[in-house]
Formats: sequence, C-alpha cells, structure tokens
Amino acid sequence: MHIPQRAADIPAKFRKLLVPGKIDQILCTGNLSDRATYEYLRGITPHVHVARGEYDDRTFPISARLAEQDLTLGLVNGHLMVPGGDVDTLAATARMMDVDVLVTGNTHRFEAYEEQGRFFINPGSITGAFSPLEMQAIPSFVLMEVKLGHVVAYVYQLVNDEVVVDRIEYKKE
Amino acid sequence: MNKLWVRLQHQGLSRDKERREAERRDLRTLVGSNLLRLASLGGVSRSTYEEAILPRLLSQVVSCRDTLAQEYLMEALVQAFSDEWHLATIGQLMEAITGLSPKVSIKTIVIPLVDRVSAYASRRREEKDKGSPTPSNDDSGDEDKDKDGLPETKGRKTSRPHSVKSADEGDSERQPTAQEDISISDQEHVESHSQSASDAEAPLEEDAAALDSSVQEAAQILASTSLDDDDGNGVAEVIEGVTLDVPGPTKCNEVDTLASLFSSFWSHVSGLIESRPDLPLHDAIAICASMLRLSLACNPQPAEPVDNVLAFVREQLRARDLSPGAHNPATANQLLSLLLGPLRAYPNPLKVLELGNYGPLLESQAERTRKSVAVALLTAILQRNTTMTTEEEVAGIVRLCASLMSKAPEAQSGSLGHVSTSEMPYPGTPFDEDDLAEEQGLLARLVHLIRGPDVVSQLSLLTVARDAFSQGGDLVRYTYPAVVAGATRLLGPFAAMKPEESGAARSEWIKRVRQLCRFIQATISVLVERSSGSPLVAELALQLYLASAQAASMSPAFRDEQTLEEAAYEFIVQAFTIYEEHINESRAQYQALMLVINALHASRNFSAENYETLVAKCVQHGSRLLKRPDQTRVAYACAQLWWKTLPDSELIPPPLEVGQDEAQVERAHAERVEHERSAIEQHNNGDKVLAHLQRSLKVADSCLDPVLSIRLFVELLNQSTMHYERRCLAVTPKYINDLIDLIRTSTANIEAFDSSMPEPTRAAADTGVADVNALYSPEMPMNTYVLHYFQRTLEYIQSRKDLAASGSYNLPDFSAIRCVEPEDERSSEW
Repeated sequence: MHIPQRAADIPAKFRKLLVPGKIDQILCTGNLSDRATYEYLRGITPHVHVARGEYDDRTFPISARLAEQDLTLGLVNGHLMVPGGDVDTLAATARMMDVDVLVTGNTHRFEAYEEQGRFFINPGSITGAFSPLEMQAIPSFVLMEVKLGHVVAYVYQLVNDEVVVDRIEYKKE
Repeated sequence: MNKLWVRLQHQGLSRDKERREAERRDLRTLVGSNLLRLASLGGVSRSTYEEAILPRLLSQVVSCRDTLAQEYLMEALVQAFSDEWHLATIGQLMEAITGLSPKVSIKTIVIPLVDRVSAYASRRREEKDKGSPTPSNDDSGDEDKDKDGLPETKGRKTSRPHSVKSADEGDSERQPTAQEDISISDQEHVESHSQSASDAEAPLEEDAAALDSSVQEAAQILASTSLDDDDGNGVAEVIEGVTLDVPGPTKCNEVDTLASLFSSFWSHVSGLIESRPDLPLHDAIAICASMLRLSLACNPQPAEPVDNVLAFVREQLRARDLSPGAHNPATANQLLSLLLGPLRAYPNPLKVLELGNYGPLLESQAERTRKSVAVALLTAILQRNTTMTTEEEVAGIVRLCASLMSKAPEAQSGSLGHVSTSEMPYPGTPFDEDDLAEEQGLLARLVHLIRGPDVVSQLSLLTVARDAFSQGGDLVRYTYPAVVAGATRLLGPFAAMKPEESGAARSEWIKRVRQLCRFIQATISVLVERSSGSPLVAELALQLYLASAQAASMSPAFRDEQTLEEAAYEFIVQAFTIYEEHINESRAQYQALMLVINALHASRNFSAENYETLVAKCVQHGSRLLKRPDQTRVAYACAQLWWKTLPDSELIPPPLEVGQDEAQVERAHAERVEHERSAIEQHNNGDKVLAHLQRSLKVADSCLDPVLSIRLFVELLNQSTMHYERRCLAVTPKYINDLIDLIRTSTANIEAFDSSMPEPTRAAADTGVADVNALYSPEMPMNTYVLHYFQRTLEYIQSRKDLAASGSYNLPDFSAIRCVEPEDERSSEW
C-alpha cells in the first residue's frame, strides 16, 4: 500500500466496500509501511496475515502458509525472489511451499492465472501506488471466496474512479 | 419588582448573605416571568419595543447595580425577545452591557446573544436556499415587505409539534425548553406563548410597513453560498410543512447587508471589549470566537470579516502585553477554538491561506496550540482531498504546519521536566515514536495531494515542499521518502513526454530529466546524512535509490540516453555505498543485496561494461556474506542476472482502442516486443550462468548441516531446471542429471534420512545452523520437508518431460533428463 510514502490513503470507494464484519481473513502482501494502516486492517477483521515487504519493519514474517477448506494458501511479498514477478519463479516458490494458491505482491500489477495446477494471484496495489515495474498502477484488490477445493476470486479495480468487478475461478485437480 | 428584588439582597444581616442569595435565585423565575409576559404581549411593535420598552428595561437593569440581578435579567432579556428585535437594538444592548457592574460575567450574556444571531443568520440563508423554488402566492401585497416575519411565524406554528429541537428552531425564543436558563418548564406557558405568538403575528404584519428597513433586509438576507449547515436541516423539515409565502429572492444587496450587519455588530462588540480592560482575556477571546462563528454563519465567502476578528484578537493580545507562554490553559483553549473555527467552516481548507492574520496569530501561540491547529488543518485537507496546485498554496500550507516540523526541546532532552523556554508551563505532548510517526505521516500524505498542472511545475512544487520539510532536522526520515516517491513517479510521465526528434526540444527534455534525477539524489543523500547512520533509515534510503534506478533504467524512452544511464548507474552505486557503510547486520545485508539484484534484473538500459561492473560488485558482496545459505542464494540469484527473458506479460498486445487499425497496432506491438527482447537479452551469457550455479553448489555443499545442504541443492535443482527451460544451453541435461544424483546419494547417506532409525532421532539429527533467510520455514521437520520438496521437483520435471515430448509446448527437449528411478518408489514410504 505504501502509505504514507507513495500514496495518501486507500481510495474512498474501496474503503466503503471494506466493511468490518464481512471479511474473514485478510492476506496482505506487505508494504503497508504505516502503523495506522495496519490498525485499519485489524479493524476490518482481527485475522490479518501480513507478509513482510521491503518497507515494513521486521515484525511481520516473510511468508505465511494457511490451510483453508482443504486448500493450502501461501502468502509472500516477492521482493526477495529473483526475478520478481516471474511466472517460473512463482511456480518454483509455490512448489517450495507446497501450496495450491499463492498470493504475491510487489509488482503492483493485478494478475490471476492458473499454472501447473496451482493458482497464482497478485492482487495489485490497493492504493494504486506506483512501482518501477508499473508506473501507472490501477488501484485493485481481490476478494476470494474459498470453498471446498474451489476458489472464486473477485477482483475490484478502480478504473476512472469507477469500481469494476471481475470474476475468476479455480478448481483444484 | 426588580427594585424589590434587589433590595432583598441588601436587607438583612450580612451573615445571612449566602442564604439570601439562594433565596433570591429561587425568586428569579418570578422576576423573569415578567419579562416573558412583556415579550409575548400582543400589540407590541418593534418600534415600541425599541423606543419605549427596552430603554426603560435597560435603565432598570443598569441602575440596580446588583450583580446577580443584572446577569440574570440581561440573560432573560436576550432570550425573551426575538432575534430581529435584538438585531435592531444592538446598539442599545451593547451600551447597556458596557454599563453593567464589573463583576457581571459579560461572556455569558454576549455569547448567547451572538450565537442566537448567528443561528438566525444561517437559518435565513438556509431558508432562502430551500424555499426559493416555490413561487410566492400573493396573499397580501404588503406581506412582500414582511418577508422575515412570515416564515418565522409560520415556522413557529408548525414547529410546535417538534417542540424539543436544537437551538436552530425558529421558535426557540417563544418556547423556552431545554436550553433556557429561565426555568419555566411547564407546557402551559409554552402553549400560551405560542398562542400569543400567533396573536402577535397579526399586529406584526400590520406593522410591516413601519418596520425598520435594516433588519428587514437583514432578514431577507439569503447568501449565495450553499454551505452545508446543520441548522439548515432542522429548518428544512419545518419549511416543508409550510406553504411558503416567501417571495422569490429579491437580490437587493443581500451579501452586503449581511456584511454590514456583521460589521455593525462587530464594531459594538469590539468597542465593548476595549472599554472593559478588566475583562479576563479568555472571556474576550471567547466572545471573539463566537463573533467569528457569526461571521462565518452570515457569509463564509469574504475573508475580510474573519480577518478583522483575527486582527483584533492579535491587537488585544499585544495590548495586554502578555507573552504567549503566559497564557493560562483556558485562554489557550479559547484561542485554539478560535483558530479552528475557520478550518471547520470552510469547505476548502486552503481558504485559510487568504486570512492574512491567521498565520501570524498562529505563530504567536504556544507550541501545543500550533500543533493542534496544524494537525487539524492537515486532517481537513486530507479528508476533503483538496489538491494544491500552486507554489503559494504549498508554501502557505507548509508554513502553517511549521510547528510540526521543528523538533521541540522536550523531545531532545527526553524529560518533560526540562523547560528550556518559557513556552511550556504545562506538560508537553508525548513524543513517543508512534505519535511522532503519525504526525509526520500526515505531512507525508500531504505530498500526494500536490498536483501541479504539469510535470515541470510538479517538480518545483515538490522542491518547495522538500525545502520546507528540511527544517525538521532528522524528522525528514518520515517526510522525505514521500517527496522522493513523488519525484520518482514523475519519471513515468517524463518518459512519455520524450520529443520525437532530437533538437532543442529534446535537449530541453534531457535537461529537465537530469534536474529531476539530481533532485532525487540530493534528497536521498540529505536523508542519509541526517539519519546519522541509523540502519533502518539507511535501508530505506537504499530502497529509494533502487526504486529510482529501476524507474530510470526500464523505459524504452530512456534507453539510449547517456544522461539517464548515468543517473541509473549512479543510483545503484549510491545504493552500494550505503550498503557498505551503513548496513552491517547480516539479515539486512542479505535483503539489501537481493533487492539490488532484483533492481539489476529489472533494468534494461545498461551498457555492457556498466552492467558487468555492477553484477561483479553484487557477486563480491554476496560471497562476503556471513552465512553459507545466504551466500548460496545470492550466488544463484546472480546466475539469474546473466540469463534474462522477456516477461510473459509483455507478450500480450494492448487492448484495441476505437479507431485504431488492428494490423497496424499488431505490427507496432510486435516491433516493441522485439526491441524489448533485444534490450533484455543483450547481456545474456550462458557460461557465467553456469559458473555462478556451480559456485553456488560448492558453497551449499560446504554447509555444516547436511539437511540444509540438501535443501539448498533442491533449490538449485529448481533453478537449473528453470534455466534449462529457458534454453540456456550451458545448463546441460548432464548437469541436471548430476545434480539429481547428488541429491539422491546425499539423502541415502545421511542419518537424518535413514528410515531404519526411529523418527524422533532422525528429526533431532536435523539440528544445524539456522536458516533465517529462507523464504519459507515449514512446520514439519526439515528432513521430511526436504524429501517432499525433492519429490515435488521431480514430479515437476517429469511433467515438463511429458509436455515437451508431446511437442505442443515451446519447451526444449527434456528426454535426456532422468528423473524417475527405481529408488523413487521407495521414497513414497517416507
């Protein structure tokens, strides 16, 4: 999110969508870089998993692995993976962590695809903060509905100040 | 009756004084009811009130010279009679107040009066805004003149059911309920008053013609601004129930009249305050604060009235010859609310800049007040998302926030008891890290609301902001990163702006870009200097340098520009300098190196020598890392630097826009892809890849902990497979096969994997050097994990083999790689 370094705040329209109580868990790919932002996330739900980004302090773990409804999810920022954001590297990481779904960040570009039987999601940057790889980032975040072996991902993007929603599905083989 | 009442006070023995006071207080309602009756009398016109009734009342009040009576009677007077009458008779009221005995608290009289008038004024404005669509029914011709009376009175009638409302009710003075001091709470009085109110309407209407013009106009005043006002909502409900006879707005100098209303009021009030030198300062300021609210309620637009109030306050402060530090907390609080008033009222917080006296008044305040105001200002700006577009705006706002930028003496000394200046008679604000970070965070967020009209001016705006922030000493570590990020982001638009042909425009462009890069570098270096070597800030600076380097060396527009390549090179060199000088902790070193490698990997614009120099530096630092696993990982990351491929995402053509020729777009895209590909692959060198991989293997092998070695081997296996897939020919199938065999033999030989031993012992054998920097720490015992990991890798290779054999994928031939061996069936037992 890069608050306050690269952005002033989460866009107002997104804030309205992120209502406390409706979301079970938050997987944050890191770089909050602000205590207040972390508290805000905690306010939405107490189950917040944050993977450390390069601008975060050391209190967050570098990766996290969760099991949810017989799917395993992995969370990592990706700034320590060379080359960053690369398909093969991500696949190798997912192999290393043995997860079905891998959530990564760092590129600030939304991506969601299936590869080698695993599902890879990059929710982009919720504040639309720029990154050297993506100078004009679009604010986006992903809402995942996890059912038995089945993931439905809704991606919310703020395009021209309008919230656009898209839907992607993944079924574990 | 008043005289009797007063005499009661003085009769009797002095020791009974308190008891008498109490008795008198109980009696006051009786006296007050007189006033109410008087006020609700039908047939009393305003002129009668003005000329006959009021003077006599006032003379009674003044002459009795008794504190309690005066206070109470003045309050009752203020509350009993209607707003318009008060407006007309302000002069007399003020004179009377001046004549009151010194012990009377003027504040409690003047402030409610002012508040009522300001509520009244804002109501009138709202009425106009809500009521104007409905056309006038011409019930009576002369009602045109009585515009004020009608909505008022009609409003009163219908608002009876809504009896208990806030002070914005038009009926408040006729229905003394909660907020009134007059403790007449029986509903009968209320009813009778409203009855008489309706009775009073008729004569009022008759006297319409005779009514004084200034108040008329004042009542008609309907300002042209539409300030969102709480008052308005209450009135809106009232008015909807009313068939409005308010005629269409007669725009006869509404704004001017309101202004004159305010100025006349103000002249009286200021005269009053000046003539009363013994009025305690905080009372005077409270009165001024309510006058400010009045002016804002009347008409928020012109800055002048508010400015006058502020100027007056400053005068007062100076006249009383008090230094800011000697303010007692009450005064300080009053001043604080005075200063916060405009902030809350203006929809655009930047308007505060127009108030010339605001700044100086603010600066003369105590530290704490200044900080609170600055924080409130910043919060208002952030909440309302107001952008700043000119240098004056930026400079003005940061000047107002100057208090946030200077470090107070307390913070440095660390103890609250130490008062170095006369500024802090009371304990200062807590300066722990989190609060400080939050305050400075507000400043940092401000930077993102600076939007210059174009890229060049944006840079100058950022410079203004940066220079202002630099006063903060080492607080810049909170604010500079935002400035740097803002500047780095500009590189994007700059790239898009590159002029096509070389010439004057292009050299201009180059100059600008160089300016930008220098700005970035200067800022970050100041950041490093001021941080006095703190490793956290050093890491931050390193990351900022790397981000700028990446931004400068990726875009095709920057590709053949010498300036930019130099700039990017310089950034990375600076990053290395910081690494060498400030980053000493091994975990931080590992992370920093990986970030540098990532930045180099993303770069596309470096020439061969520059690239080689930088990579060599990475390798050198990598081999000097403390821990073996770190060295291994950096080594195979460096191997990645020598074999780069185009990311898949860039192969996707951009979406077709309206009016574009599809074939042309495709061609342009294909060209672009080719250019990018050649830029990326220009440094590819298979031998170096192999060299680094082998080095990595050697280091991995030398780890003391065998399980860790094997883990690293498996990671290397993954890496090698990746290179093979990308057709780096130096990584031969033989190499991969050897690696697989190595892993197999190692697992066979190590006790940790010996299946004949019971599990706990096996796991216990897995005690070695902790692998802190691993990307993932499994929860299961390491030996099990490593075996499964190996298995998964083999499965992956097998799947690639099958895919390659099928021929439908763009994969090299995997057939030479042996990965399924008879021993593998045994491994499934583990």
